[in-house]
Amino acid sequence: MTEPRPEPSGATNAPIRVPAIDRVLVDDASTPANSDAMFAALEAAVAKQDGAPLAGARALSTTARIVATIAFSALLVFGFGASACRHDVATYPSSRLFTEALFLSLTLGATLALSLRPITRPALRRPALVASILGTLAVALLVALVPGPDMPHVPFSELGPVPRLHWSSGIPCIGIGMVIGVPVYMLARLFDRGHRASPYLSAAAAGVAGNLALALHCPSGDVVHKLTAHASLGFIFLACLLLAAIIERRFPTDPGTPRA
Amino acid sequence: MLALSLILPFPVVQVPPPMVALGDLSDEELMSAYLAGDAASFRVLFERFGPRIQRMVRRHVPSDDDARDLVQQTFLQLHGARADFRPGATLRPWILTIAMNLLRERWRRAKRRPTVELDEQALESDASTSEPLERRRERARAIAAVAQLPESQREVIELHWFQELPFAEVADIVGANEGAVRVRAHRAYERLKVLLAEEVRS
Repeated sequence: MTEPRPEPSGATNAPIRVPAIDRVLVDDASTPANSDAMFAALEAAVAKQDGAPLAGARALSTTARIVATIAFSALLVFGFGASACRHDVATYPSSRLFTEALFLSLTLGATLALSLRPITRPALRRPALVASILGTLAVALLVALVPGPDMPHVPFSELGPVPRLHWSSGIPCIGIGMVIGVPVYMLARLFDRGHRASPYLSAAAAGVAGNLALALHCPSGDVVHKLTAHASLGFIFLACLLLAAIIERRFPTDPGTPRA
Repeated sequence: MLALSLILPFPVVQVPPPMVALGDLSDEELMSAYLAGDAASFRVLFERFGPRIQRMVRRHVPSDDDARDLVQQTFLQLHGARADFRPGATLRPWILTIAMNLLRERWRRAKRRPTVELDEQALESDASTSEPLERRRERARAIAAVAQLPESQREVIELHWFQELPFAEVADIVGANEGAVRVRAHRAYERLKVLLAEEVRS
């Protein structure tokens, strides 16, 4: 094999060459055979994809998919908030409620938009994905850490172990959050075209949707309750997703088909 | 023409365009035609990009079947994303981005780097080609060396060296800035120099 030719750094647009790789290019220039069979298989796959239930949702433009998902989520969350509004709404500071709802709504919209990004854009790198998910969870935690107007502020370091009472009183809130979050997650997955990161971002968004609904519904200003029953929703959705992924990896339904 | 017919108070006679073979159309014109319902355009796009993508992915996956599967997935996703195509967009980065996303996903699912090991017996007994053995061996070594690079360098090598795309387009496809892509290409080149020199010595 010829010794690779030293070249200057990649400062120009001209490809830097290694002779061995040049030869690969030359050798590899032939057209692969059986293109007819491949196209026939592709046509069958396209027909199958188009024939799938609700295939039209994924075929919409990215803008339409994002707008539809956000609109449905807003309708669900604010519809629930309006029908089951917190009983202290008359006395609760409206600016406070508005700020909480605004922060959570913006986070929800941004996370949903990120989870539905077009597949013609590069997939999120792992650090960017982790940062996005952590950012989403952090917003929910921040909202939970701000105590209600009538509650004394307890620094996070002084919270101590979570009492059993908070878990049991939080179960209805977790239930409501799940009931709101699951449809948001399902809708985001319905419109998703297959980015690897999408399920995780959709799960985080579902958690935020549940948080937002609870911010409009639950009158508790207790920080511990809000941490365990509200902010935990995102973690719960992500944990469920990871569990499902582990089960799928352990017992693959169709190991030959890439998850795309 | 449509805009003109909306402005003018009388119907505009549309002169049929001269017959143009699909093969003469640009990638973007073909995609537009496909969006307008011309299924034959998709076939031409497949013939134009399919072999290129197949060669590209074949360098990074262990079998022809895997490569064909990735080509099919790429065009399936292109079909699914067709509603996002806008006049003025360039099609090539679209297709290559989809293919690279799928390839990256395949690398990750493989969990470990796909090392292409030299199988001397297989090389010697390969009756499918009349290529000299030494040439086949060289090619296998080069591909094995590329496979040892980190993922972020490997994709730059693939797009800049093998596909001969300018750095700006590579940056667009891998989702990094141009400077970072240049640095990756340079580091990959340095690493390949070492790897291939080691091969020669061994």
